[in-house]
Amino acid sequence: MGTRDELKGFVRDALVAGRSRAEIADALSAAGWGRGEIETALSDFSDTPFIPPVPRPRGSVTARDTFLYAILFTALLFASGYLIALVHSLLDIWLPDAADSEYVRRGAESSIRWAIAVLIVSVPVYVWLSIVTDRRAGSDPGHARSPVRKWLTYLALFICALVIFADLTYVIYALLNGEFTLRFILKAGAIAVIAGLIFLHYLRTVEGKHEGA
Amino acid sequence: MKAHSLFPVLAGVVTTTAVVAGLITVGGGEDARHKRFDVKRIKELREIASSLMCVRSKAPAQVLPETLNVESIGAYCHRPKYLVETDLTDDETGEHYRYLRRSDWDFSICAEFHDPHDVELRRWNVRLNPRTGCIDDRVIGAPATASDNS
Repeated sequence: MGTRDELKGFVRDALVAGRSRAEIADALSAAGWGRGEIETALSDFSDTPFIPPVPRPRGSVTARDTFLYAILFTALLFASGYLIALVHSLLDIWLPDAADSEYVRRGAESSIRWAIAVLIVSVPVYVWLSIVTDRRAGSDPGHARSPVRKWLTYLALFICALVIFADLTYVIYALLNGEFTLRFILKAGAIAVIAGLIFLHYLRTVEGKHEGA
Repeated sequence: MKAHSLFPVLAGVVTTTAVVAGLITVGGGEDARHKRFDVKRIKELREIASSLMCVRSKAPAQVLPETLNVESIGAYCHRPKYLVETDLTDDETGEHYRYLRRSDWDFSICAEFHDPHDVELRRWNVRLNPRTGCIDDRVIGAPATASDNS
């Protein structure tokens, strides 16, 4: 943190002294700073000839944002997890396996009822909060820069990536272990599609706001 | 921004479809309640059948009772430990379970099941005939019949 403040202070002083961005970048590069670090430091100030240098807006953490996004991503976690559980239980009933015990169907019915209950609560919350937060971000760029939004979005990406990773690993294991039934393929596919769609959606969200984050 | 707002709507549509498929597959609350009553019926029928089979003495002193109540079962073999009078009636309809005394040692105890083919009922490990809704059984230690001897 101290290093970043130090670098930012240097860039500010250099811009005040009338140095061009290219000169500052060369000086920092010669001193051993990386390209990413230099770009980040320069992006802290708006690219205008105005002196003193105009700082670019930065997001701030607010209790309201933390509340909204924590609920939003918790609802997403529950909705996606129980949507997968629902699809899996439906497949257990629709495509019974000869190796199933008779309790599989009973377990699946109970699991379907619980998943439906969770989805009926969590999905409307997720849809409503997504629309509300997207509108807020669209009408005021300050909201779009929210660090809470950014961190939780990356957390969602991380979880999705882990799920896809584990899914692929298990598919390969099942293939090697002779468990490759149609039901298994559809279950693995459901996980991949749901986690993949969430991953792509949030990846596009963070990439769209990358420069502002 | 438009594509971003599309995702929650897509999520809502996909989930609604899955929820409707789930409800069609397992039925609503009324179906679940019927199943719970069926499970209660099978548990009570099993308890009655177990009392009539007279497991403890292995050789009943008397033949099966003519009518079914806790007293007659107790007088016939031994007072059932877990059976109370209300277990002899269907809690949904309020009617007595049907008791058929097929011989001195053969009996059937029956109920009206909503779904006697439900796999859930099989886990209670009783000889339920899904067509009649009856448990058909025989007293343990009963003397062999003529047909048994032949």
